Amino acid sequence: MLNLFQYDFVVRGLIAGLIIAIVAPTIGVFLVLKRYSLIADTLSHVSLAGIAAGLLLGINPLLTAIGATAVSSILIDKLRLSRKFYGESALALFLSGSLALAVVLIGISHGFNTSLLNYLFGSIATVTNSDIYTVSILGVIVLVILTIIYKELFFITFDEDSAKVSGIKVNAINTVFIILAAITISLAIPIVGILLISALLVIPTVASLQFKKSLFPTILIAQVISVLSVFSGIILSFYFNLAPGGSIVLISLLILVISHVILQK
Amino acid sequence: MIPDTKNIVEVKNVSFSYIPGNPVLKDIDLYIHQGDYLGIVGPNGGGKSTLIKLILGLIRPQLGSIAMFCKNVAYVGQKATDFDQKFPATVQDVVSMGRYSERGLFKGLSKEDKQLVSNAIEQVDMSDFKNRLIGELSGGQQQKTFIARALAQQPEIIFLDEPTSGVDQTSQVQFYKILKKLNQDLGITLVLISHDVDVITKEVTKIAAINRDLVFYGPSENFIKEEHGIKFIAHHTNA
Repeated sequence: MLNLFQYDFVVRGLIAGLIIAIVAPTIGVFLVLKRYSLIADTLSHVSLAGIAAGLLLGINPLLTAIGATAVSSILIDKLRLSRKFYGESALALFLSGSLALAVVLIGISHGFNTSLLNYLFGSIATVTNSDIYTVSILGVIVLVILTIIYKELFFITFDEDSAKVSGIKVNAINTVFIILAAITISLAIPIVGILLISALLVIPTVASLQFKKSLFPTILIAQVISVLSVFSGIILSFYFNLAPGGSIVLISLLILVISHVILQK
Repeated sequence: MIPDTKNIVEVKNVSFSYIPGNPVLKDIDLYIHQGDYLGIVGPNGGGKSTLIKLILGLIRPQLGSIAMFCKNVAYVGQKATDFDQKFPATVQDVVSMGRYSERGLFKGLSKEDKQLVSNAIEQVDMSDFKNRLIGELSGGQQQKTFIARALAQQPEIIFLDEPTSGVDQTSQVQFYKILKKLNQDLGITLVLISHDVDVITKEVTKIAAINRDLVFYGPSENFIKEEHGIKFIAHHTNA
């Protein structure tokens, strides 16, 4: 049997995967509880436009994706607060708009190619050393900022009006959080791909919520489920030549189903 | 009649409409004094919740001004019992939230904070349930938890919007007992919205009846005595 650790790209994939596996569900728990799951999907499509722009301009696509999602997340949040659009229609506008922009940009840069497909579905082979640095640094920054605003975010997520009345800067915290979500989504692209990112944010959270614990243990359980899924997904994809993004998501779904069956008993 | 103490909330000539030309509130003048136990009554859609949201600064009036002369304000919203019942938070977590704004970013709760939290839980008689998830409790227990959170904030004034909706009769009686204690023993000003005029007029000391305009404002015994109040009750208890 091949020793997967002798391949640099596998090691790189596992390192990046580990960081993302910890950060993504941490953000995901708050997204799910705030009923913002659709924002994850929207921002992942925005990130596709960012990546297409990066590929076209010859800039590191991970950076352009982070830029595009961060700016869009602030705009989406502003639109949500202004209540000028009905319910979640602002999200739909961003989702389709950015996808349209991405398609146009891809057209200009002479159509789909392998690297774009890798971004759509994830491929650990595309993870470069510089990606590892970006993912590590930004991943740690996201976790640190999340720790700083943790208790305020907890209160806002549970009861926004009471939090506001008690004197918490609700709008500022929400903006910071949505930017953190945007960064996290962009970081997860190389591993799970644009089309499956929201799964990595949502599935471990949904699985973990079944354990009926308070918030902090819920986050820890989600992280464990996510790390398990990412590691086993990458390892299986290496030995059986499967798509890593898909494998990771399928394994996390399997864990969700198994824990559901066990906990229902 | 209780003599009025210093004003802690001043609502002057306030009008508000969600849709232009269709005011929910018109020219409201209302003063809330320190130590008041004020009940805001009125029919559904009469503007009670809107008035509270205006006072709390959650929405802004199109006309008029609102001033609040106290720092520490707590709010138990209408949706308090209408939250996500699967939310991963224990009673202890929820009550601790009352201390968060005082602490500031990145700082955990101090020893005193934790003491205030456990005192608040004790005051509403929820110590036995402090490690239970909030969604696993009855409506009455959840409501007591939200009162405890407000208490942990050490507020000068607590606003409660329909706090007893979805709460059974026995819990309601207990709930009003707690409120009375907060008002009389701890001197906390209470503002309580309810559509249940019968119950509320027996509990509070002052009544503001709102149906787009301020229909009545004064001691609750006057509200009951006045023909006005009787008419209001007759018209609106089943609204």
